[in-house]
Amino acid sequence: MNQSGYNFITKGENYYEFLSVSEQKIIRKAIAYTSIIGQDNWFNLSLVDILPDGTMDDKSVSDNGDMEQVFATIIGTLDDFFEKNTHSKVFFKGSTESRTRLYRVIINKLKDSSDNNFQVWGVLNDSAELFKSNQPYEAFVIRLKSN
Amino acid sequence: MKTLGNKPIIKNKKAANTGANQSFFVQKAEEAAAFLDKINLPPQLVESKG
Repeated sequence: MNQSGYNFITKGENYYEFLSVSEQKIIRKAIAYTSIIGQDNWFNLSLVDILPDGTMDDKSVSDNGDMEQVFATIIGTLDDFFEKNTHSKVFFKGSTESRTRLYRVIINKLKDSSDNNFQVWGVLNDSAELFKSNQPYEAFVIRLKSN
Repeated sequence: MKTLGNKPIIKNKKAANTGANQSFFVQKAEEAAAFLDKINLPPQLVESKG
């Protein structure tokens, strides 16, 4: 994946914001890594739009034509997150089935990239396996390869 | 926040990481926990080195 991500800023622990920009619109977005209670060193990744009133929306369809760039931004935040949380696992799942499908396509590109240190797992039928192409995974887990 | 590189300035300065929004993310993490409870995780993902 050679697409470069947006610049992002950190606002508090494991919380990032950036702007998704197209000729049509600018969307304020946030990525948060939230500790999963009951699972040691597991964090849930949320990608949301920040609405004008400041509330979060993880179901809106931005349709800003920049999903790969948004995903590259997530990768950038993963790099930052794992620098501070070396042994953690990051779980994420699309808020809708269509979004999960989109993530699957993009992760496939990520998997083929040699310039990252991530090991990606896919969750299917109540079990997790190392990510394989063309599997209808329901969710994903990312950790550092060295762990 | 003033700029993001050469990107436009964010004019809406309402705090995004408020208590209400923290609750939003906690709720998402709880949903993830419920999902993970049903998953048969391999040892590589269960072992904790932290």
